[in-house]
Amino acid sequence: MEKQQETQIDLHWKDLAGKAQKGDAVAYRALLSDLIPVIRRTVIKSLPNPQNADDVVQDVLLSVHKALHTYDPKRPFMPWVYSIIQFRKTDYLRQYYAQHDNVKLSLDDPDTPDYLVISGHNGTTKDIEEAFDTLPDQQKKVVELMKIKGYSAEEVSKKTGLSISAVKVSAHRALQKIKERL
Amino acid sequence: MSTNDLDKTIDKLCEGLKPVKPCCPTRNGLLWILLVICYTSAIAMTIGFRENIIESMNKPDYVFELVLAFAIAISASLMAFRLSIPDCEKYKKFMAVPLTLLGVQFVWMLERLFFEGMGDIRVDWLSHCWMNTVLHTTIPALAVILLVKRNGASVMPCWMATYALIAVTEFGWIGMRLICTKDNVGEAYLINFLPYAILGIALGFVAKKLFKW
Repeated sequence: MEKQQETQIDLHWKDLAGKAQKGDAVAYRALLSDLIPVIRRTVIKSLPNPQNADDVVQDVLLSVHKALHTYDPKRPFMPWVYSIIQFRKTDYLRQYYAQHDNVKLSLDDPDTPDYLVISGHNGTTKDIEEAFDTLPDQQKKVVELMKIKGYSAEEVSKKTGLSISAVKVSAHRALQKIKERL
Repeated sequence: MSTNDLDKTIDKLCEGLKPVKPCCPTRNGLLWILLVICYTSAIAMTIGFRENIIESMNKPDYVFELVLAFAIAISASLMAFRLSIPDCEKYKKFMAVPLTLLGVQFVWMLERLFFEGMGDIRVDWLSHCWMNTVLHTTIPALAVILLVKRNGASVMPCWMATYALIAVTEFGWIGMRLICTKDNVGEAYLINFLPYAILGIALGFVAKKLFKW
């Protein structure tokens, strides 16, 4: 059913595109207006800033205009327009990341994220620390070695003298406790 | 950018709408192939065919090399023109054809190199081989760029440029084989293909800008 609907839409756009190639401005306007939500929906998920989606939509509309002569009215319309959408989206993303690769953030800039500016702990990490402090010494040591310093269960077992399974159980219980407290 | 801006863009595009003729990449490709065949033959006749052309045409190796190069040139030209339009998805499965044939040519060259060695290379190879190569390829290269830029809007500019380069290279190489008597690997392959390798590297840097639309 959905496929049938898609085919009908494609046939409709194919017809509009054919008329646009002959110079029918009304059909062309209808086609471009119809395409806006389709383009927006296709690009919005992969953009870093969804509010910039309309910039890409505009690029695609201009590209559709420039490439109108390359559309073959005997072929389906959607594959042609999707190729252009993907091409312009990739172009946009390439430019976006090229521009943002070497951006220097000023710490005085109000847009700079808090985690780069605040040197102390914010509320969330403080809560975790408080929960961590309530653990028994042995569990605290196991969590510190395994989850903060990154040692394996075997290495922690050697350092603490506990068996490997005891280390794993201890770490598991400690994390459960922290989770409950949070 | 707001919905109003998009509406304004649509208004502008509709105002500037002119009737356009749908382009056919295969037809353009065939047109270019015909042009290049005529041009290469004309150049070969102007410079003069190699003295032993009739004798060479009876050698299976020589004929095989020419036919292989011609097959690569035709398939690469059609591929380049098909990649010049956005809706090229259905042609992607043919992308391997010219590359496979190019692989066969490379293996053939290695096999000859192994059994025959490089052979003699003339001292004046730069003035002789490269100048003739320039003569053989400049017009076809300009023609393909012009046709693709005027009639195309490629979403795969680098691949398209690669196939165009392969096509120009092979046609130019066929032209050289028709006028140059030296069939040894050193001249026929290394010296005659070297300018294209250099051109390919240069094209790699400018392909995206050259075919921007």
